[in-house]
Amino acid sequence: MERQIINKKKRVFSVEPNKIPPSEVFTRKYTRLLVPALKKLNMNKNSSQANQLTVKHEVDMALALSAQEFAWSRFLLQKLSSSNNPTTTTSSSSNGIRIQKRSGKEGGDEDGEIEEKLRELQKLLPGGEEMNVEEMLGEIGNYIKCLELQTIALKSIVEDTT
Amino acid sequence: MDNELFMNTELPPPSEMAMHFEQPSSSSAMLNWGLMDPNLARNSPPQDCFMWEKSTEQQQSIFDSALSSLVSSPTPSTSNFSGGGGDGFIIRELIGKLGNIGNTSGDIYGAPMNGNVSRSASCYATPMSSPPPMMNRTAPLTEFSGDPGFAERAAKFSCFGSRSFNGRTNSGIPVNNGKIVNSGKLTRVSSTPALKALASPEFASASRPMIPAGDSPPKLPGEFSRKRKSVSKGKSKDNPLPAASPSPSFSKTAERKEVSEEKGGKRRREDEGEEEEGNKGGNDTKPPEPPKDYIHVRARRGQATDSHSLAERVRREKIGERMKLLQDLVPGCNKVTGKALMLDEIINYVQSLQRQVEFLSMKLSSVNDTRLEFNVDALVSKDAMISSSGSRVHESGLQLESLSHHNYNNNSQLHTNVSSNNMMLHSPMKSLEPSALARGFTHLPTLTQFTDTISQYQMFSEEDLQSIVGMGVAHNPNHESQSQNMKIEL
Repeated sequence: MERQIINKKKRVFSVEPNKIPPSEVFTRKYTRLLVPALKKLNMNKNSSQANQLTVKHEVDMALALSAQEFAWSRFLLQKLSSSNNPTTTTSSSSNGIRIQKRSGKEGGDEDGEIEEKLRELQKLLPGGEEMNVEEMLGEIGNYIKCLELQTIALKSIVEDTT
Repeated sequence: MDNELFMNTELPPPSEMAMHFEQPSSSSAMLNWGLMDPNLARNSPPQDCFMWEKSTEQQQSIFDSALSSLVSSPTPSTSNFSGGGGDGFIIRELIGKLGNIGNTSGDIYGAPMNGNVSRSASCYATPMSSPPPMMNRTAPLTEFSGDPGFAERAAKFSCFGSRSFNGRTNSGIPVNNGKIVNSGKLTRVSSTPALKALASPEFASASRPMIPAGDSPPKLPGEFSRKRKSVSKGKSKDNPLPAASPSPSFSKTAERKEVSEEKGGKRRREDEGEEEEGNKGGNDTKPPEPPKDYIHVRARRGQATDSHSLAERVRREKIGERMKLLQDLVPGCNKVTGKALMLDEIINYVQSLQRQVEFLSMKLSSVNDTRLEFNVDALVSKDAMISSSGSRVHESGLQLESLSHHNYNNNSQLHTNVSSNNMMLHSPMKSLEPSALARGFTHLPTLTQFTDTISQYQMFSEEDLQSIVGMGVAHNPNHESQSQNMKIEL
């Protein structure tokens, strides 16, 4: 199949280049990034003990590369490229434990509470801590969107291959 | 004829007459001189009213006489003025008379007044288009305090009244500012409507001797750092005015707060309301001077006008806006009210999404181990359909089912209406896939380990796409079940 594609090499240009909704663009990018990478992984893997983490790494990488117009993707790429240690990738589980408990210390100070939560949110977003709060809130919006799309894509991939 | 203007009415002396006339009079807009004195209204057509600040009686009498003559004379003509040059004429006349008053009274209105008269007169040459500018023009004439700096202030207000003066402020301000700095207080009133239309910081600074260039610090009693905002709340006014920080980011319009402060609590709510409306219009005019882009925020009534608190408020409002956007994005946030709870929801949602991704990637890794080959193209096409049909995870189950049905039913009807989000059909897919692919890959400037694989897929041909579509169609029955599964998983 791939060989056929390479041989054909025919290019088609769209009439309306900007009409594709970004969610589709992202999903397409994502799947087209991830699936070949997974395939590669699959082919190359002999006995990679860290397969899970590698897959996670690839998943995150695909996410970052599919959403390059956003600031958080840059941070994610940095994280991924700087250290190939998969533990540095977004590990939500560690964060999850911490955030569930609502700190009662800030009870009186409502603004402080909100600030606290904003900071938590910042930690969730890759690179969120380097941004200021307003910027971070905007980035969180599209990060959520991309996460959703990623989830859908991953699900479909998993479903398809099982 | 002491206080002859006031004698006709039972109104208290001018200092207590904080009446507010914002009335847009019927005929001539120009006569909406900020705060009109009701007394004057009685004497002359209702529009000719002046705000009188408490000043010496003698001066007042002088002013009264002069003003009465001024007021009465132009009234018949002013009533016919519908704007434009009419006001200019009146104001010029008044200014001229003011100049005379100054001369007669001695030091009050000296040369500067005369010098300013011409300037102010030129200011009014611009046609007035709306009441606020009218009121701007009247600014200089309304204040007849005994302050020595009145002339400068009057001229300054008059100059600032006209929007066209924006271009001339550079020349005008430095001259007047110095003088105005010396004067004690910028008074009131009329300035409020006048200055409301002033969208440039220089006005504010001039009115309150603060120039965006960072000129002399304001000497007014209680500098009001004002930020222009869209809405002014009709709260009780007057907030303590900290010494205005000469931050050029604030456009300070002395009027409102100053007047209120001086008046001691009699503020015109309507005035402020009007001001806000005028301000909105005034804010559209881009002041030509400041090349710096400052965010002009108007302080709300009853709120601190401290520069820090204002900045804080702006920031909080921005955050509030973004939170509202997030509310739409995160499911279940609509029911929640309050920033804290919403933030909680958002945090939980992001965490759950991240956990889901992690779980799926683990699953994928396990699948990857066992599975030998991927049906890439099918996956790709299917994902495109899925994403187009429903990008929300929480809605994906329902949407996918419905849309998959819809897709199959309307297979022939739908055209390349790519913009319609959830209607990605096979036929449009054919034409759009390659373009999207090409475009999609152009979006990836930096590919690390994907470059080689991507280049393979960069070129799609029509035949390949048809095959993809075919596979996509073939997979659709599975797709439905998968969507079911998706729903369950969710």
